[in-house]
Amino acid sequence: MKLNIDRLPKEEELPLKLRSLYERYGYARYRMGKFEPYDLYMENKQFLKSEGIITFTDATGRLMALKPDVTMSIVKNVGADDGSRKYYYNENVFRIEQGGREYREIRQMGVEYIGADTAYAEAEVVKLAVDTLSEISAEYTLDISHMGFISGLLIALGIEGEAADETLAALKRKDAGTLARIAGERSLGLREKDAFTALARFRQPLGEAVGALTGLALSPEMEDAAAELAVLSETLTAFGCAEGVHVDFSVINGLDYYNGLVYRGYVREAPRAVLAGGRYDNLLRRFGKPQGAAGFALYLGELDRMLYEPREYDADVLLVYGGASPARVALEAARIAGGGESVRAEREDTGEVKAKRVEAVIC
Amino acid sequence: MLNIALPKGRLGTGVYSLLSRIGYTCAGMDDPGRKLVVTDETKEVQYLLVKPSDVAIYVERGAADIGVVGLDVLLETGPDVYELLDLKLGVCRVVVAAQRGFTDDVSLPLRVATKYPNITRRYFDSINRKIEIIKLSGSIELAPILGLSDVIVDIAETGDTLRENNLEVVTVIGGISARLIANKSGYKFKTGLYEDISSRLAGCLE
Repeated sequence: MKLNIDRLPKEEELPLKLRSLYERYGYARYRMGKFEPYDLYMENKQFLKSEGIITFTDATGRLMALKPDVTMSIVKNVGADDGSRKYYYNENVFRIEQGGREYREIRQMGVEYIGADTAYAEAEVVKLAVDTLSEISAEYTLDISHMGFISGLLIALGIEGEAADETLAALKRKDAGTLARIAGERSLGLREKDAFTALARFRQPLGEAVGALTGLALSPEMEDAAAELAVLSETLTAFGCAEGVHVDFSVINGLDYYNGLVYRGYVREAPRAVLAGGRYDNLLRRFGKPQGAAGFALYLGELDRMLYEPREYDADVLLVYGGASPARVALEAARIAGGGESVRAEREDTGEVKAKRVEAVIC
Repeated sequence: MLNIALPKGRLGTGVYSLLSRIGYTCAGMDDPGRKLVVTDETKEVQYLLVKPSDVAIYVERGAADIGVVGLDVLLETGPDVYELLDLKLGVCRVVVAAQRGFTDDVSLPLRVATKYPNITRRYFDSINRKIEIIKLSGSIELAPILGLSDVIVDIAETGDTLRENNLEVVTVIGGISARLIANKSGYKFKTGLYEDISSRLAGCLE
């Protein structure tokens, strides 16, 4: 039977399109088991998005977990000598969503480039993130930030401990008021104060942002981060996907996981971020691997409402057969289905089945 | 259509008058009655009148573009939203209060009645005091009087309600005021609009 691609619902079409996109750039499908010994997560809590993990005891009495995360499994299984591995995945993970109380099965597609040590490799992953968003909606944005720029700023201003936590939380909320208060509590020079408060509501297209950030840099660490963003900007422009990429410092992840570039993807139709990613070398070091790594995850569940297409009809044809013989009905049904239409054969038309047209089997 | 979530009550009325000063008047808002949604088709503004503690949820989930909510609700529920402006309305404090003459016996866990269990837990963790939380929804002042709790954590404006119930402020945990919050995704695609509202409201406050 020939597959009719045109009739695929949007929610099934999207993963297929994304698969070809990722394979086009040399990423291979990674298939993951559902279970992992719980100790992996217990020892690495700071790298997980949520505390809630579903556990069970297996047949040998070992405490196992339903996987809450894909990245950690991939990193754990990559050898230290393995060089680079480019994977994409489409998996379900189990965890309590942020701000929620119930365990959820979260459908996730993503890309992991283990060994993404070069500026090109990192840019390639960002390009795939932008392309992923453009497959979903015409109105999207990939908002990026650089943890090196932010941590460099905190160090340059001597902000640490609780004040650093408060600063990061305020940046995350775009709370210019709190940042102004923190700046006021310290005797900062004018240039330092400007750099600090400018970050609060900073949001500019990547190309324009680079110049501004180089001007705001107060230390070599910040200059390096700005330089990385400049190279990223050039590379994405060469890829032809720089439109729709903005620099925005409210994109912040816990410092444990991401060490450099971090980003979140938004589409106009969804109220929450649908994609999150970045450079996560820190996780590789935790597992004793020397490589760099970059990747992102697309949360398919966030797209449900916008991809949902209510079905107008249950079938193309309602075939009403009344008292006709089964063999007669079979001939008619096979004829219709063979012609490429969907058929619901029912004894009578009770009005329950919505079909484009009704045919009756003549006895 | 710009959706604005306002808390029902005095704070909502106060915020609406600020919003109408900057041009976001809406015909039905002068006397909404029991209506929960008030729409102005020509101005393309829609006001959603909701329970104060729900404003943040509407904004977080995109049912509202922006909203106004007290800092107490933000600290308690921690919604993932942008906090664009301190409107300096609804100014009050989160306090620990107890009956006059109360002394704390540190050999026992302190029983705290509150409708803010998260704020409470964070505060007492920060001073290393072991507590037992009794979560109530209203009339918190009653709890220590009936021996249900030793102290309460609640918001206080003038302190009159506490005094009337023979309670006094033991510690001030922090200051509270109403904040303008915004949906993060909405902000990305309507940055100009949201920032315009925020800066013009800020202008009204000077």
